[in-house]
Amino acid sequence: MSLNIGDTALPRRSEPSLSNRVRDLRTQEGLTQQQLADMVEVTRQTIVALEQGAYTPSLALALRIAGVFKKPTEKVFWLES
Amino acid sequence: MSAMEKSSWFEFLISFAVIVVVSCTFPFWGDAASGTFGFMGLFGLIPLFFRKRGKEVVVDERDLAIDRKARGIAVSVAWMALFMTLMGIVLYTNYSGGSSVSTRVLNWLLWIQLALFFCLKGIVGVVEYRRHRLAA
Repeated sequence: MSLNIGDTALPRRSEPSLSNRVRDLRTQEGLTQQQLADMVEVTRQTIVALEQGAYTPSLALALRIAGVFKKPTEKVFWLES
Repeated sequence: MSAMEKSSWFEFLISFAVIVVVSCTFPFWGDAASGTFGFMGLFGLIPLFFRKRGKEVVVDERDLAIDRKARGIAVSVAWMALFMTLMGIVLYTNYSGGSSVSTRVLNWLLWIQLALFFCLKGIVGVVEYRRHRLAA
């Protein structure tokens, strides 16, 4: 839950940690981190952070990444139990 | 280093340098030391970090999330620091028998709050990027 003041959201509870298979799928497809970043319109550093679990992507980004690999989103990202 | 990270470093270094220089020169120059705050006009150069280079993505959602977090923390802390300082000044003035607060003090407080805001925004941004890099 967040409280918006103008366009500045106050800090909210941290996002749940998502696990992912992005690195495995990317190497299977023969893509570099830069190539994947260009395809989903983010920076390479974001792909690096995402693959290592340091960053939780937005729903839109997760859907775009799953779309690149032509897999359902839940096969690419899942919640840590 | 992404454009937003460079911007965070730039904000932190400039505002920190300004605070240090003002602190060091105030005993010698008095109110004239507040002219140092003019160096914060260099923040006008920040858009240069975000110029487009071909099809390269300059700012993405992670950068915006970090910027939003840094801005939120900086606004909260700088605002509370200003408010608490103003409260302290009003209480001190009342209990010491004074009847008014000098506009000179208010002028300094506003400039210090602005420098504090950019310093905090910069350092939070830098720390967040470093945290992501270390976690990766």
